[in-house]
Amino acid sequence: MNGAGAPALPRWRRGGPATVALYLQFVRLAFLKMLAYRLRYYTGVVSYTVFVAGNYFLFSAIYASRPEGAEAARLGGLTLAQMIAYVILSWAGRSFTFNNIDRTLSWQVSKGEIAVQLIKPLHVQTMMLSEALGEAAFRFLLFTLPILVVVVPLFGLAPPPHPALYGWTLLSFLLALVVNAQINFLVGCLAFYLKNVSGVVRAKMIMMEFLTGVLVPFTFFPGWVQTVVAWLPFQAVSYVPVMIYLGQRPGASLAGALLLQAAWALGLSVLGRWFWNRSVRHVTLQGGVRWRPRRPQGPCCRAARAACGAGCTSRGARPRSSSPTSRSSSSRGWPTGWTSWST
Amino acid sequence: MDDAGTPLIRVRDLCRDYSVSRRREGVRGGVVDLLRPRRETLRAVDRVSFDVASGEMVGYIGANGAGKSTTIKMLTGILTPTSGTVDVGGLVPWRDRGHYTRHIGAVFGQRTQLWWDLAVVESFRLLQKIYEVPDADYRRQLGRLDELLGLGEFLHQPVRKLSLGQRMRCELAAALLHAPRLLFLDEPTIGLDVVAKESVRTFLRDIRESQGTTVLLTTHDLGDIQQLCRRVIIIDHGRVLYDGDLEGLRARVDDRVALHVELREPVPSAALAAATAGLPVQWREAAGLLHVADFSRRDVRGAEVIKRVVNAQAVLDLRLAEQSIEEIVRGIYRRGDAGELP
Amino acid sequence: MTANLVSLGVQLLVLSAVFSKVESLRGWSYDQVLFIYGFSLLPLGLFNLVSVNLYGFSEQYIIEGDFDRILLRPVNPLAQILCSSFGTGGINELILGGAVMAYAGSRLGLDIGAAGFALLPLLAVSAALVYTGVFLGLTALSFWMEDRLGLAPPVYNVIRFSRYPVTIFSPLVRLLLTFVLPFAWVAFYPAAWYVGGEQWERVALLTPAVGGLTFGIGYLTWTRGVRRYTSTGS
Repeated sequence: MNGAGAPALPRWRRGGPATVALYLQFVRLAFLKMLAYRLRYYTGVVSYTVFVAGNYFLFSAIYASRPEGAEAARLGGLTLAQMIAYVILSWAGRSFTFNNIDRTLSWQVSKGEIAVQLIKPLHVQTMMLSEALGEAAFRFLLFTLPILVVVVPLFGLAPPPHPALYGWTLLSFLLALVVNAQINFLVGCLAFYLKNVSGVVRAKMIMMEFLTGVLVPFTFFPGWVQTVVAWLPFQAVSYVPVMIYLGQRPGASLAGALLLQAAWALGLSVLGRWFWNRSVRHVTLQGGVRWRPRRPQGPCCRAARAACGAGCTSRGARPRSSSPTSRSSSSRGWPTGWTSWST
Repeated sequence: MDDAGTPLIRVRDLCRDYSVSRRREGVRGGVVDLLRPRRETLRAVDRVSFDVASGEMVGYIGANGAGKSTTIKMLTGILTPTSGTVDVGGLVPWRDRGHYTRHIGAVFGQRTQLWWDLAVVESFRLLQKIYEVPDADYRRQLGRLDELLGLGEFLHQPVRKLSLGQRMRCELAAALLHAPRLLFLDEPTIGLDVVAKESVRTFLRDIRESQGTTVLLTTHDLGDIQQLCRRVIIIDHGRVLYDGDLEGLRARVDDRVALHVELREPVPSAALAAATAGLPVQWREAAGLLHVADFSRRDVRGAEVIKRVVNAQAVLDLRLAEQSIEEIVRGIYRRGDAGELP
Repeated sequence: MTANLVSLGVQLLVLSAVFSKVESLRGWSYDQVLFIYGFSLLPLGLFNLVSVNLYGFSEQYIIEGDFDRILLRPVNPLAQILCSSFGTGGINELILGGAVMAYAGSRLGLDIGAAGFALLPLLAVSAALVYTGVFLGLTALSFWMEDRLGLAPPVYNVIRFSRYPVTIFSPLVRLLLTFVLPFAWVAFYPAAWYVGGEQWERVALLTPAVGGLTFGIGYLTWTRGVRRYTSTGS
């Protein structure tokens, strides 16, 4: 009965236009999803305002404490007005480029939810990037713009040396968004290999604030630190676009900075693609896709099984947290604690 | 073995090993574990072979940890077997995942494939795009699913606001929107109340009949199997214990029955035992005038026992109680070894 | 531990970057600021030990309805909730905080004396009460508003800046951090006594009072919320 007449399942490939339409749908849906939870994000504007205000006061104090006659009133090459612009743009930019791909992906992998994605004809990396774009559109409208509306009149944002730099800065932040999304995707993939990934995700979030230059401009650090960060992709997420705005990358250097970002965006996408394929192969070989929320296993469970016959596993007593109906959080991921990292 | 035509799924000698670390006991053991972990190979699926014909609905059952999920994982392509082959319509699930996933649908009772925060219909439209379902087909299929499952009332609600029963109906619709050739169901009725369970079962029957979908179903609820599947595969400790129709199980196992006899007047059990002397029947007194004879159908025919009892005593009423399928299957799990089955 | 260590490392890098450009921050030296930062980790660690239960309170207890179960038992509801689990990360913060204080203290040649040493736990606990009071109050708001308003994250972010000597900020900010959102008391006021000299003694010794007051206000809000919950039954 093996044989010739076996019903064959045709091979199949999605066409170009269909691919674009599909992933545009993800962009749209991510935007709608965020919109459904917009109430939760109102206070995000307050959060970012706190960051800007805190750093404003901090750097004002630092500038006021600088030694007498320091060269041309600059610290790390920036005047106080530039420093304030740096703070505002860094945080406003973060409110735009930030996303939770790493949290969501690592959580999905650890909890086995990823199985649902794996049995669909989908490219998960592209899907997540599309969702990041949709989220960014939401963030731009409901985070970044309101934050700027609040913060700019309060603390004053010095204009860039040339009006064209507004446009270049915006473009640069778009590239920054892609770079950040790809970094997050790579970190999320680590969950395929690490048992306890939530700590790594948390540590990465803290580290990113520093490595992207959001906390302090790299020019405050000794030369060797600047050399190191120049070779890392993280500066493309915040430091580069902000420096473009401040006019610290004039002429050819501007083009170079944008190209550098584009190169990182591309390079990390390729790396992410490779890492994803490798991870999926790893997990299908190791059998690590968790199917169900873990139930307690062990001698007592075996005993119970023997006692009642295995057919009668009582499903009514499942713990609440494992039941899908009880999840009401918007971005499903590791709990973040009190911090507003997730926004 | 089956009268159905050429198989759509062909599984041969499928094996899957897991490497697990065994913890040693005590503090010292913990330290030793850190330095030299003790790995152990566990065989979750052991030389499983079966065919499933196109359009068949097969129940795949077994105790927790019997290897059901592992098999489903390999059949859906998210797990590579240690050895053995799976051929589904010319595709190898784990190797040709990109092509293969286009043709399958799945419902995992505890996982949602719907987008939690979006209206159900948004998820459906997205699935339409994912599986490239033409608009006309999509509308027709959604109409049919709506008719069978009654989705209309909550199609525009976000998934998180649905009850479990409503959500399960949506999950089923989501898995079938692209009219897949194969449907994998992992405990589709888990946690549902009786009414919801019934509507899911009715739906699955309808869909198989109207669309010819091949369905592989794992469940703990034998009611699902009894109502849906002519064929059942029982797996335990990774091995196939039984593959055939459900009623055929009775013939294969030690089919115990209980004959309940109500007498007109009190009689000692010994008198009844004397009536069936020579037959492998055990008598016990249940209550007053009620006596029960336990025997195996393999050893003795029910009619023979009844004839002897009626001839010997004044009988008021008789009732022959068979074991339920559930009890039979539980018995199989408990023995848990193919060797004890004929 | 990784996350705690990374957080500490980043903070140290930022501080050293700032102090590579200026000698002192409005009169506060690197080591003094570092000591205050180290101290701030003690109450934060204590707070994090119990606060894991408050975070997500609305979701778990109000929306899911676990609070009904809490009310059935004859033990103070708040005690039950705070003790239902412990955030073990808090222990890391205590250890790291102690280490940073010891390091900064030794560089300052600090001798806090027996009394100073004895008062340290009291001050840390008092400061932790400030945290707990503030976030308890915010958590209690979920008795009135079903969904978490999300006020806690912006408030939490203020902590980051209250680890610096508040004297470097403008008078208005100082006022706010001292009386409105009393985060100046979780690190600077108590720690300043050790590194800033006698002039801070009076303020530092007020910390227990402020801790008690803040916690009292938070607890009052909480009990009102519980009463509201039991009377409306929602």
